[in-house]
Amino acid sequence: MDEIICPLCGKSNPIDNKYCDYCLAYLKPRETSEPVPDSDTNRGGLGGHSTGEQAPSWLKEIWGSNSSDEETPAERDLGLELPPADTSDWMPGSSAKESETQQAGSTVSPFLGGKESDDSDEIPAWLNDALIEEGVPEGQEAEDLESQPQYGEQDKASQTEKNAVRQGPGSLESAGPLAGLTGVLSAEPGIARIRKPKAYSTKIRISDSQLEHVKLLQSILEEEGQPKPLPEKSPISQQHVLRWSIALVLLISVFWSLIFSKGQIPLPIYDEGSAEVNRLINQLPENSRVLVGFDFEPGLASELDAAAYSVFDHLVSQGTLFTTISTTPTGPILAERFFQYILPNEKLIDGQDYVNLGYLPGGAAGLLNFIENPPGMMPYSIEGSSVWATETSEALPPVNGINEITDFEMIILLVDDPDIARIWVEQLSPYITDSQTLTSLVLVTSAQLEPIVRPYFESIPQSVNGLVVGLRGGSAYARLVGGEQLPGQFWDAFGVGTFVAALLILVGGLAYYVVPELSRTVRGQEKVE
Amino acid sequence: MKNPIYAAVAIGVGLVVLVGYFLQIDLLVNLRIILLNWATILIAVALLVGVVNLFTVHWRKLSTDQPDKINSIALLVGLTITLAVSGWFGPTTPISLWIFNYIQIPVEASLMALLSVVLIYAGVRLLRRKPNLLTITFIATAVVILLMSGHLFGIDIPGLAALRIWIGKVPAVAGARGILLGVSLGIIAAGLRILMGADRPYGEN
Repeated sequence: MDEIICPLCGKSNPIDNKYCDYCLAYLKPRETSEPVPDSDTNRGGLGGHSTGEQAPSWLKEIWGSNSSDEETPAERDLGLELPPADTSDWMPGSSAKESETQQAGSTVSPFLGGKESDDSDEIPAWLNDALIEEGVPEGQEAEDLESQPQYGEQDKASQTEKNAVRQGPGSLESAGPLAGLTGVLSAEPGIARIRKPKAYSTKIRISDSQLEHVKLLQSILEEEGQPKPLPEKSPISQQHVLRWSIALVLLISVFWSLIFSKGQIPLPIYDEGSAEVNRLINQLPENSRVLVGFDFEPGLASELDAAAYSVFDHLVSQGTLFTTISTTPTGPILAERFFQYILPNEKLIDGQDYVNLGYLPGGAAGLLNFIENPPGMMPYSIEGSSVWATETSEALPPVNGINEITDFEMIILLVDDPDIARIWVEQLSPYITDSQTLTSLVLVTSAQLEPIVRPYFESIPQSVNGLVVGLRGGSAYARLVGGEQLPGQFWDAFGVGTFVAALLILVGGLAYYVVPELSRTVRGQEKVE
Repeated sequence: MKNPIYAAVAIGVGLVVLVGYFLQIDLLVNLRIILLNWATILIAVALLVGVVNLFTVHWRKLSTDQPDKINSIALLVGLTITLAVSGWFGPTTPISLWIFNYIQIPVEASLMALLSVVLIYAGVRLLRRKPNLLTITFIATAVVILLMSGHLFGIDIPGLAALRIWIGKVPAVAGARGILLGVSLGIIAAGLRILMGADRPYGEN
């Protein structure tokens, strides 16, 4: 059944209808009753404006370009159905030729040139792409991408698209409120034409060489992501052998010395600090009271036991009474161990020959408090019994008559830590350096502490009056007083151990350095040859 | 200054103790002794809190199935047994001394023995890693001190004993004095900063 499209609403109506069933608009152009003027005299579009000479130049140009009778490619492809070619009766000035031109015009802007429409029988590439883009299979997209024009070609196609839709001024409006009118100025083609936006491919366009590089990079990254097995380590490496060799040599030398060499090597003759301590102890009266600080770690107990043994042996022989205190938590039990186990020949009685005041907390503040007020700061022994004189009990012999720190005849500090040594010396210095004070301060230290405490001993006035350093100092003191028991046992093994250690460092270091250098030189010479 | 009370208390106590150290006024001296007693008690309590915290941390580590549980078990068992024995029998009884003599002292002495091996090993490798003048000087000094600390089998090498004494009295003491001076200056600076309120190591940010 034949139908006619309403130029106003665009709906189909029977061919016989004069008016649209939907919008009551004229479906056919009305017959004109007036003679149709010559087309040349009606190029203005609206009647009355006669000659083309009066029109502006741009309009003349457009007219000239729209004189072709051919349809534009866009119309053919889009299948636009145009209204009949007859000129409407309300537009008497339009000619038949012009009407044909108007049919070909559709919605093209009259301002744009339509030169391309004359020679565009074939569908341009851009339009073809836009039309078939939705229907392209996914697999063929890569091939299409390569066949698509590059950027320069795309620009040309875009320009062609714009030019293709530029039509002459005599086109007939086919839809909208101005349907049926000719010479309507349409909007810009890109805006007026409502169509689905072109879908651009999201895939990057790359060349073959770039693709090769991508594959190469991908393979490198995949290799990096895969865990590589570590080279198998030998269970016995060169370092293990070296360490075990050092330990073995040291152990053999020390044990050999302990077992087979007893007292064959003489003790050191003289040590300045030890001699000064000996002099101070000799000056002490009988049953003098000495405060002893046990402030070292159990790991260094062997060295300090040996260093302090002869000093305490000498003190015990003079009937000295000891009061012990510690600023480290392990100090009280070290003191107890020393008096009960290290000096077995002179078994001392707790509470009678010595009293253990226990642990003094607070570091420097606690020590200062004790120095200023010994009975108030440490009123009880480690066993919990009262030490100092009270209204109900007498003071224990080691602290009898002691009210201030300077009431002790001597203060001996066994220490291995530089900070603790410094705190003791600094807090006691105001009392020790006082010319009216008879109390002396003696340090029995580990060998590693000698550089730190020696400045106090060598300063004037002396902050430290006597110094026994390590096993060497203890051995020197033992030789002075004639008791060589404990230091003598250790002195031989100690000497062998230090000698072997020095030898290992010297020989091993040179071998470790010289042998690789020599082998490298030999290898270099071989290469040269 | 978020809370000026903390700073005021710290500065005030510090000034009282410091001034009481220089001026023998009965009021200041007595006040200083009281404050030092308080500080000593607080530090002792902090030690107890530290022991409790140590126990709690390792107990939590044990109960939450974390790695290296064996170390936590050893610590907790050792701490409990020592605490029970010393608390029940007393810290100076033979059984407490046995634990100390035959467990703690050998363990710590063994660590010191290991240290000697490690130090010798480091000395051996030092020449290969950094063979320069300082390294050679360091190694030579260590060797001289080690040789002359012992008896050297009664052999008297001329000049070596004097060199050892010189090293012990001049370069070593010079370095130690420098360290002591630096420590003293640092302590003075830290004390002044606390007294002026520039440093507030008592919890205030």
